[in-house]
Amino acid sequence: MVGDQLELELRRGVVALAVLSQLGEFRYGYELRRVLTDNGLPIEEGTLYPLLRRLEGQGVLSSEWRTDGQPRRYYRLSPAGKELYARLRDSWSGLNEAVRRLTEGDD
Amino acid sequence: MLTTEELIDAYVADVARLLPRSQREDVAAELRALLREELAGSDDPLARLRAFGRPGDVAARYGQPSTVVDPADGRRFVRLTVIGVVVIWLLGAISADGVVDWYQAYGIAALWWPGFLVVAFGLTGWARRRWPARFLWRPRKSTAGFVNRPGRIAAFAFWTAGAVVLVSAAWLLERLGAAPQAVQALTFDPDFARFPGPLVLALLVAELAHHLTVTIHGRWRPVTRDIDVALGLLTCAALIGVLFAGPVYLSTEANQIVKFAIAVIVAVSLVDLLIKVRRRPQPVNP
Repeated sequence: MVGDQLELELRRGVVALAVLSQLGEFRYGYELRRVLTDNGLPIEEGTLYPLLRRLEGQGVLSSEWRTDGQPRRYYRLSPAGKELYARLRDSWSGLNEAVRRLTEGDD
Repeated sequence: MLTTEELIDAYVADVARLLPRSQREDVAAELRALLREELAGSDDPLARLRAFGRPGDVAARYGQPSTVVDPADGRRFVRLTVIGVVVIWLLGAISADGVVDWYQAYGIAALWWPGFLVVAFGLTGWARRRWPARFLWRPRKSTAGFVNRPGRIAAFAFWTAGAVVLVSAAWLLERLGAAPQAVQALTFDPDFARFPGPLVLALLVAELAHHLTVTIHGRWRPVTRDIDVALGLLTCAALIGVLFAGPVYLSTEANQIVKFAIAVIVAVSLVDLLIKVRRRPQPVNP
């Protein structure tokens, strides 16, 4: 459906920003998904985990395996990721404000 | 019934198989660890895994799946594929001896054309990604209806010379001292020389005159576009008449060759006319 497709496109960038926002410190995938879901942004596993790997491949995240207990891969913002996150956050604020003004009084 | 661990192993194996070799081991280890946590205590682990996505979709999300034909080229690719195959089939229908011969020589064989297009589009897409600056859009005069005068003058000279050679082939061969058989082969059949030969020649001359007019104007106008299409249709109709009428030349071999050439010219011209009509600029209503 057209609506589903548009919503998916709208969410795609927001999800990336939300993920970056939570990776100032090391987190592993399952834990990150829980944090996002608990904060009202449910995200499918099949979307989140590949996204983490892609962001790592683009140099935005760094990762490490931890084997104390159950082996898990932990992710954190790289220095480039921190810069990118700051830029995206500012951009999001501007967009959010503009859309708020444009849609004001719609209801 | 598979256990949850066996289901995870099967799923991870199917995903990993579709990943680049360098990523497989690492992604598989991570995916297995994550799925164990996701599926822990689940009543229906198979449904959870299915909700995760088909292994092919998940593998595609892990990387940048390569595409042979860029999505932006999709429509053009499909159009060229269909047009090319239909043209080959039509030409085959004219040349083949019966349905079986057509099917074997053209029906299936025509599929080389989509294969060729896949390779051509794939290489073009690769070159576009590799050297983006070389593939920037550049405005073309022809899009606005302007014509390339030097090119059209050269084309006019070529077609005029071609028409002269076509009309007086036997006479020219005789002057050049060719063998009498060659002269005889390219001598027009008297019935063709009476009709429809002069009609085809008149249409050819009209097309050349029209070509020259547009070249002098320097650009296409609505009326010259209309005349172009009308002349094209008339010429195609006359040539189709020639195909089904009697011989063109006295020699049987020359007839076979010229009729095949006419069939090709008609097929290409009709496709060209169709493209011209579809691309014709629409009047803008304020």
